[in-house]
Amino acid sequence: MADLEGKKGRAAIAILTITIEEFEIVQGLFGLEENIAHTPYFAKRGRKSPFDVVARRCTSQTNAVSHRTAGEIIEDFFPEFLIVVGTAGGCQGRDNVALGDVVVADYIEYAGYWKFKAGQMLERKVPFDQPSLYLHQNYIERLRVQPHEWRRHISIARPEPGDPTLRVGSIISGDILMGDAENEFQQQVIGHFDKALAVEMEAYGVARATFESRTAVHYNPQFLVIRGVCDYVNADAAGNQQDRVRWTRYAVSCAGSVAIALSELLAARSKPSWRKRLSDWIGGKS
Amino acid sequence: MPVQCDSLAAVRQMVMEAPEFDPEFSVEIGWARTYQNVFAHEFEVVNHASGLLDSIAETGRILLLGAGGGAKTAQLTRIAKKSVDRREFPVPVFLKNWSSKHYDLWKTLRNYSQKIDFLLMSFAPSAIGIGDLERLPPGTPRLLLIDGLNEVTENVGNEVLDAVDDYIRYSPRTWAVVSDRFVRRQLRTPERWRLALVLPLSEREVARHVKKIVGERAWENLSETERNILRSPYFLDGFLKYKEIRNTKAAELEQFLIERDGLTSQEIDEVARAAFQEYRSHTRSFSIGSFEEIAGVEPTRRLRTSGSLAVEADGTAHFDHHLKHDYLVSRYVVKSPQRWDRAHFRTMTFNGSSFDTVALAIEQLGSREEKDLFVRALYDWNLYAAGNALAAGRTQQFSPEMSTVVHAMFAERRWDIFIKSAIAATDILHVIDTTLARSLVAANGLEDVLQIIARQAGDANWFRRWKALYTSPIGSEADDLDLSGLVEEDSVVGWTTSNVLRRKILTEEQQISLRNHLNEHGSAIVRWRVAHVLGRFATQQNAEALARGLNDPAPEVKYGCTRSLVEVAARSHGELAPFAFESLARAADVLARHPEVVDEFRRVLMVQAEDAPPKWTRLVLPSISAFQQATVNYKSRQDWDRTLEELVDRYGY
Repeated sequence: MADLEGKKGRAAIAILTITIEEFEIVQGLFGLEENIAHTPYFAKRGRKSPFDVVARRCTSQTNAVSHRTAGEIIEDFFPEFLIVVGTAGGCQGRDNVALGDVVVADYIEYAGYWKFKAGQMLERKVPFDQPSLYLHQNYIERLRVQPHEWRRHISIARPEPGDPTLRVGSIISGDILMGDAENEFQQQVIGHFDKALAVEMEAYGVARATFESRTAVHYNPQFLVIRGVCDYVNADAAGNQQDRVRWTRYAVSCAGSVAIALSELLAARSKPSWRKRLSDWIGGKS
Repeated sequence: MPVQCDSLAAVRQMVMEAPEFDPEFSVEIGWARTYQNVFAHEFEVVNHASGLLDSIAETGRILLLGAGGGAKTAQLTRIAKKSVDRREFPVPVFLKNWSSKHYDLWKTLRNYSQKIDFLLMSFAPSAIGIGDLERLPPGTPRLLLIDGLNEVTENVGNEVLDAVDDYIRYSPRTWAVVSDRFVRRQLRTPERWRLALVLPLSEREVARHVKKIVGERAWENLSETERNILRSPYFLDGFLKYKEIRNTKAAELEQFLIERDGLTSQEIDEVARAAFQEYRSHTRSFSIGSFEEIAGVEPTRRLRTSGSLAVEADGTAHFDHHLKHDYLVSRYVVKSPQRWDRAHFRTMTFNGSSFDTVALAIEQLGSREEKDLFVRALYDWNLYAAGNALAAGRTQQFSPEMSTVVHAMFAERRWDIFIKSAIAATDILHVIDTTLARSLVAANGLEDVLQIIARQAGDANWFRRWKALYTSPIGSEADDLDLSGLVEEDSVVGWTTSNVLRRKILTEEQQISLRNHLNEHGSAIVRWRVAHVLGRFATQQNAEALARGLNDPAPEVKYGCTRSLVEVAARSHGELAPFAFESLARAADVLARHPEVVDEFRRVLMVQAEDAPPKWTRLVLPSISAFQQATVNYKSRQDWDRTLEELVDRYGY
């Protein structure tokens, strides 16, 4: 892939979070302390373009905003890897998914643009990217099998005894906040995508931006969605809220830990210069 | 990889050979980051147009704004040549060649890359596509120069901007400059555009050229009005060539048709009729055959011979400058008051997106009385058209009374609950730019506005009555006489009454009477005015009446009820929001057949932050979802995405 320069420079890995809480935890894990002047991006102190890792957050929830933000990241840096890190609501009862687990999406189901007609839900398809096979095949599978490689980065105490598990599966990405088992639309959506492990509101936007950036052979971004489970969407609304309060910070830390372990593995690949720098930094040499 | 395929080389060659103004005028550009600043002439910096490219790498997108005849195309030509010198690859795209068939093709395009490819293949000097540009080495900067966004309808113009925005986002080292008339656009990523206003030539610059080419005496003999006209490069160029000037732009253009094209006044009328017919398809390009059929063989031949009419090999024709076409269209409309109606105004202004024709029309009307009547007719159709009629120093051409009325209508809108109405009203006051307009922009509230308007003089009886109505105290009790103004045929009185009632206290009986009017009155305009009033009074009964109004047979009543239901949802602090938005959701299938209602619904969802109930975005979502389903197509999907994005940006999720 050509070493493309965006309007703010170059970057190997770009991380996108949604909430302030998510961003602060990810920022701490990666040590992205310095704001790149006049931009919403943060990088390792003293770094200049080409950056090894940059991170920013969406100004708000929803796929519409994540679509725009991911597009801006691509325009500004043309990163090789674009990773969404944050939380999601788990689908309780599917694949033993539990609070604090990390779901790395291998497929994104978009829950929008449906036409309801005569009792049927007719999907209206929109093209978008799916998560990177390259990353799943070469790195996520390894982390799934060897969880100590990422669990060691978890920086926040677990609310209850136990260990988090990395689960690979599909996630639902929609525009309506879910978290009430009684909600009819939510039941329809979760029932329709009967294998999905989690639900969130931004992956589709990033996937669509990634797809839209594929108009030239010079650019082949790999994107991934890593979500820590902080509540269950199919629990009652009050229980859901309690779980979210207790588990969010830990769930973000777990997802961020998978992201940082992935970055270590990417840095160990052979080797344009940025990878060596990334490797040095993660190894504590700079 | 070698890149110089024939088409790329041809584009480069054409750029280098493109003609420029001779002599070259020194043009200045005012730079701003927001439309608000452009309208208020609050520029970050003013510099020479030769520096246009210097800052393009920062955001990659420049919107070059300016009046018709302001030399935007000439600036793009210069930029293109400079870009070649900088070893970049510029591609000019001329939208003036857009014809009716292009609208049909455009509708079939689904994403930005198809749209950009279409623009390049259709309107670049030599047919090239995205694929050709992609074969350039990745390090070679590409520069899209899109000339004449105003040559297409407002909606298509917005879609072109969106496509350019996406293309620049996802294409390494690619930039764009788009030229447009001085109108506000809804930019998807406004922070990524820089706005560059082409300023009128300075008097010093005009004097320099006139003195040098026409003579010192000629400069001294020019009136203030004539000197002002010459601040437009198009008219200065004509004056330097032909040494003649008239006291209005319209007269100048007419003279050109008589003297350079050799047409008689009667022939110009026929040509004007043909020009108007061709505007019906909202394009400046047309078939020479259909034009000739109306304009006549001989006048058409003369226009072709003089170069005023350019005809392509496939029989597509266009005027060498759109101002000539605009003049002819305005001449046709202004000639007969029977043509001063909605249908003619829509055609004349490309559906309300280009108001140069309005300015030219006013210049052709003789008396103040005629001009007042014309602006009233415009007001009946589109308040913003009436506002534009008064812009650029034209207020003197109207009676002080009519001028005050138009000022006042916009001043009141500055406090509208709907953000976009308030912004548009402020924009218009900025372009009217009179002492009165400036004081109204500086007003701190509606009370101030009423006081300012109360001080305006005017002898006409109708004006005294209007002023008493307009300035009646805020919060006073309405009487039955007040209500009777709603059914007045005179649109100024009718709409002023509608606005004034919104500031008054209405009893329950009066509101019942209004609800009955909304249900039963024979005039759609009256039902529309009533809907406007009821939106201000957020009660369950009014909301129910407005919800019934969504099924009114008249589109303007649906439009008014849609606006007012959103207003009720907001003004009830969210309490009536579920009912209002469920009603809109239930009517989505019916409303979706009226694009102007759907567009307005999207617009009015943006209410002033202080009026938006908590969780406004979530309150609105069910109706958005219903409209999405009712208008399932790619374009609509993009529009709703954008609406949702704007809602989340403004109010959070």
